[in-house]
Amino acid sequence: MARKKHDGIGIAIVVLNVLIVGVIITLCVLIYLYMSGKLEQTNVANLGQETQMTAELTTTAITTLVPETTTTTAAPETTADFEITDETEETTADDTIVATEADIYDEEFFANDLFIGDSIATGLFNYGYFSAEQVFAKVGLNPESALTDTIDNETVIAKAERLKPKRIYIMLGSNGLAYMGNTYMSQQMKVLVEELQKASPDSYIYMLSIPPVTKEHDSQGQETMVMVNGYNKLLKDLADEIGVVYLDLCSELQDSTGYFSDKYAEADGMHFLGTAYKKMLSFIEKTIQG
Amino acid sequence: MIKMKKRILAAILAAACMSASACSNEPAQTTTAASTAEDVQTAASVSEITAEVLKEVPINSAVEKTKDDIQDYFTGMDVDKITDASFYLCASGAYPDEIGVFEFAAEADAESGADAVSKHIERQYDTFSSYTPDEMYKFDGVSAVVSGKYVYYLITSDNEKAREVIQKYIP
Repeated sequence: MARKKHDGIGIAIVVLNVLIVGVIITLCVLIYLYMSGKLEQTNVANLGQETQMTAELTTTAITTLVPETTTTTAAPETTADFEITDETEETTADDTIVATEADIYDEEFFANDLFIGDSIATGLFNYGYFSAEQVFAKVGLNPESALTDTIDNETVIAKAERLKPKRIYIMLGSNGLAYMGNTYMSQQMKVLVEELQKASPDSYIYMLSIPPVTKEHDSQGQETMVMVNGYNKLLKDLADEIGVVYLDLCSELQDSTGYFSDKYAEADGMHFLGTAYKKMLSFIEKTIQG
Repeated sequence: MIKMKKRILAAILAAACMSASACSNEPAQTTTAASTAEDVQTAASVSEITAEVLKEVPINSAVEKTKDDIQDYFTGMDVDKITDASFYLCASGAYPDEIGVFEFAAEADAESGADAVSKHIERQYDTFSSYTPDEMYKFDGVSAVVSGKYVYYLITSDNEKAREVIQKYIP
């Protein structure tokens, strides 16, 4: 009987050891799962809820501020699931700029200069080539409106008077091609230059040709290369007349067929890709320095 | 003696079970909470949120601007009250598209920040309405949305889809 009791205790010890080993293995598995990130995936899947809990966010106001238009667009279904990794590597400002060609320009060369232009020139600021202080550019600006429109409550004439820039570059006219008439625009350009000369007599003023349009944009008829070339011819004549320098940027951006090169053209066939600004600055600097 | 051994074994077994139980629950809960906080801080930065939206709803010539650029684009915005900011725009100036997310220090700051964002949206609407009439559908239903300490706005070709993406991070 005593031997049987002894065997019973032995079995209990074995069972206990098995249990302890089991517990240790379970612990190891749990630790491994956590360290390998498998548990974290559960957290990621619930990120939206967790964000809400952690950040204690509550939607407090949604106000429609802009009148609605009647046009709508088809919305393709979203199928991609949320992923944390690599999501910032595909679309950054740097990507856009890094993709440009190797046109070289010296930032110092332009350090005391002022650019005047329309939405195309806003890219000089938006891409970070120059500060807002060095660019007077506005969507829709033309040689006429440039005389009176303000940015931060300051006209371009007042800005030139305040900054007294070393050089002033003007690239205006693309917006008026469709409806203002080339002759009227060139007359307004003359007024603008004269006002700028009064405001900042020591500034060198450069009149840039307006850029070309792509073949596709041309075919739509609103702004065509015939219009562009006609206006640029008037600008060149005006520059000769009033003694400022005309810079033929248009030719620099054309392809072999005379249209805006795809290498430089935005999808609308009129605005600039980031590559075009480098090309423009490089061209200006090289031309002025001779 | 045998009873004593049994009691000792039972005590050891109970202790082992309690230990195992504690190891498999409490630390896991703590780790989950800790990793949750970490995930929110890293995965839900405003820059990552806007990038995620941009991936789903692309913008031509997209360039990201940050807190340092706010004063050049958002008149009246108090930059000192902003913790972090990221907004994309069409740098070529051809299209009105923008995606912006701002994180403020406090919810009250977000409310006042939303006013500046609203004025910016109105200006963009006025600017582009005569310039690119075919693009104005992108302003349909556009507003400055306040959500806790966050303010966001979307002027894109597919605002509904963009909103779905952004709401994965900001309810």
